[in-house]
Amino acid sequence: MKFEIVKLNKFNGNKCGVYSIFVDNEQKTLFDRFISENNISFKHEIRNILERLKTINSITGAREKYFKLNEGNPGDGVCALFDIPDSNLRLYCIRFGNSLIILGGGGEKQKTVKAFQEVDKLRDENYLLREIAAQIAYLIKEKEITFSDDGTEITGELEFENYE
Amino acid sequence: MSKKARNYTSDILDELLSEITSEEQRRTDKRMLLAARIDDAMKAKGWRKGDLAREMNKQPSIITRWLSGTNNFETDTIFELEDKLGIKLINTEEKPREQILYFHLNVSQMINTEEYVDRFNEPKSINSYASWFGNNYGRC
Amino acid sequence: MEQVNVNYQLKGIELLEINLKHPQIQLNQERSYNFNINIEQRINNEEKLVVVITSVDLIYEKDNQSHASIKTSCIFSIANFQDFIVGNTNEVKFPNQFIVILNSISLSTTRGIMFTSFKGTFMHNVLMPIVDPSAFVTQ
Repeated sequence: MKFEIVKLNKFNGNKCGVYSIFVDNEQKTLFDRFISENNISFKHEIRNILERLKTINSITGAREKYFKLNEGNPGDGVCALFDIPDSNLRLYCIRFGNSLIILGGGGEKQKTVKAFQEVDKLRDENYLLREIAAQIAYLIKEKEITFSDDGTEITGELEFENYE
Repeated sequence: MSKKARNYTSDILDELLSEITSEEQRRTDKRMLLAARIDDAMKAKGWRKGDLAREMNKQPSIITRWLSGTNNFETDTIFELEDKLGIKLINTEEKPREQILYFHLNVSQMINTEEYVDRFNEPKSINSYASWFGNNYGRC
Repeated sequence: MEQVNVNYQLKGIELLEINLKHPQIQLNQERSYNFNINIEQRINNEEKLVVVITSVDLIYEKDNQSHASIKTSCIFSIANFQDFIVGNTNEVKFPNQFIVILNSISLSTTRGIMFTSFKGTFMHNVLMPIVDPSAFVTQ
């Protein structure tokens, strides 16, 4: 699979860089997909997620407590933007400290017995992000990906492939 | 040479972001900031979630929710947090605006400046009490 | 007329600004100045104080240039401050006579400080004239 990390420039604050990912030849990023998949059914929640991302981007930074950590493999940074028990959606991200987040995909949480496909959706999105996180971690180790001094920008080999 | 990330935006993201009113955003900002203040106050006291949970007589999962920036607090909870953490979260005292009265006046005057000299040897001037003592000293 | 009691004390005097600027032209010993006097009474409910800030600008009448200026503050504390708070509001209303007295004291104090500050300068012995403290125009 091919990946490209892009900067979501609508989030133009300076407390935290907000990025997302193109997978293979998709026309939409993972985050775009998440929004369009859920905007009709859960408009209010999508709006709340966007507002919180704006606050994180321009005022507070990506503070730890705003996320459910350890949603991926140990230390890979995969987490979820905090969702209250009553909410319907979960959004996965990769968090690099308070200054940079890469938004992945997500979906509806398992609250009642759902159709097989829907339950798997969340799991698939999570696993996809774990793969991407592992690849990024490798590239960071190899110094092919670096961060700016203030940590809000990611630079280097931002188009990469995942070798199976 | 470090290659920066490509800038990207999508129509759907643009559209949804523009629908957010500034009041709504401000409210979310405040909720997140409030959570941050509580988190910072806990760190200042060296308290973990379990400690605050014990103090407030709540489950740790509730504390997690409070710190997430998504909670809509009851004011009583806020007041109790203020007490336990020793911080001020809401301003409940009305601060009086300072009352100011303004007065103005213009007045013209002819003045007479003098050089600053040794008074005792100068001829007597009616404007100077000090010079009266000169030659009258000793008379009763 | 009802007798109203105001228990007040002078708590402090400060010289806030003092400015002297010789115009670099010949000045007669006898010359005319316009004293531009501004007084601000700032009421502080919390501390029960009235701070009176007096600013005097000395304008040379011949060419309208400012040759000197001074700004002082006199701080008065009022023991029975509560008696002058209007009903349920935060507004404070002192008797007019008292306001005039505060202005008068502050003016005289400023006169004294002016005298001391201008000693030995080209403004030596320039005295602030006696003014009627109730003649001030409120803004």
